[in-house]
Amino acid sequence: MAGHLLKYFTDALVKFEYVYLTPLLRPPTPQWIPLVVQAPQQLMEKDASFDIKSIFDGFLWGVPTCRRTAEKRMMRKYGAPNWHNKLILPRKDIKTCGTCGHNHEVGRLCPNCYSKVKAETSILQEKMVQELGLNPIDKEIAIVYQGEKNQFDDEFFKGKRVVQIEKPRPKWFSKNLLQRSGPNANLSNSEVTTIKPHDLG
Amino acid sequence: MPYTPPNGPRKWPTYNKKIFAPQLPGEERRPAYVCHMRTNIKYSPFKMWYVASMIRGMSVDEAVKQLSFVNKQGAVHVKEVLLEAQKLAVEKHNVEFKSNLWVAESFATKGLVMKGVRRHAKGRVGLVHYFHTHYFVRLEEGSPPEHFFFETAPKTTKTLLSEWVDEMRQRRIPGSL
Repeated sequence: MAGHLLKYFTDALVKFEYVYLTPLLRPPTPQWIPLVVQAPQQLMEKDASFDIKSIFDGFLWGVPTCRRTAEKRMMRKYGAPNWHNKLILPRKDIKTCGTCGHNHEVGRLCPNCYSKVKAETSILQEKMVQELGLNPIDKEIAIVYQGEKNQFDDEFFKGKRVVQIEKPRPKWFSKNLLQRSGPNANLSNSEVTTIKPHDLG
Repeated sequence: MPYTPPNGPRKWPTYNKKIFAPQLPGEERRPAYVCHMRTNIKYSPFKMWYVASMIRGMSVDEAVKQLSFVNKQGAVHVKEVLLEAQKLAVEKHNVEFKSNLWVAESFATKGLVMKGVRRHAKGRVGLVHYFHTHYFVRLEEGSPPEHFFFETAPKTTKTLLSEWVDEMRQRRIPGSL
């Protein structure tokens, strides 16, 4: 009888340990393990209307869904001759300037020659501002380089404001440029003469 | 001063110091070459590739002329490197005429990459990569080859014929045994 009672108490103690203590003592299980196993049929019914694209609903925006093919990658990088050519092709419209030997695009002025013209123009403009100030230009301006004063007669300077420049005329700045040839040109027989190229200036 | 290891490529200019075995009497003269590089140019290697690939197989004069009219920042660096290499070739590598050089190799690789951060909308953050590139060039003495790229060279009648014959022989009747 005492043995039977002892067994009853020990069984109760083991049961108590198993139900209450061991769950606390063993490591905690992850939350997602379903503690209640659903019947397979129920699971199938629930997932019938599942769309794979619904995984993008809550997160994973702006992310590639398909792998870029090699063709697409090549097109982006190298382009195509008839589509958008990404390769830099050598240009065929580059000419060499006959005067200075530098290269320039067809249809544009040679930058090297033009820079010389620009520099000379700025010198002339500075000199003009120095002598004539910023008053409105009502008369024509006659630009006279070093050693040229005696080449012109007084009639040339009539009705013009003279600007003297203390440097020799550049070789490329032809005197003939100043001669008018439009409808207002007053060409007399004495002015019209045949000039050889090396006399142009 | 504490030792700071040199960063960047170092092997390329060592090819200039290579000493070749004496040539045999009947052997064709080996053309002079010069290897030159510029490291850690603040430019993207992906963009530099287009400039570097354009001048492959061109003579130095033609390459410099073309690069003057390419609207890319990398073109400025490549042109400077080419002119430097041309000068080196004449002064130190026994090249007689500076125009008698052509671009044998021209390529760009990735250099330093500094990573920065930028702001996006809604408090999000983006990574910014500041790329640098190393540019390498090898100039060889002589006139440039007729066709530098094998693929773009016109095929001879012999090769065309052999290719046509191979195509004809590759034909099969579908569904046959």
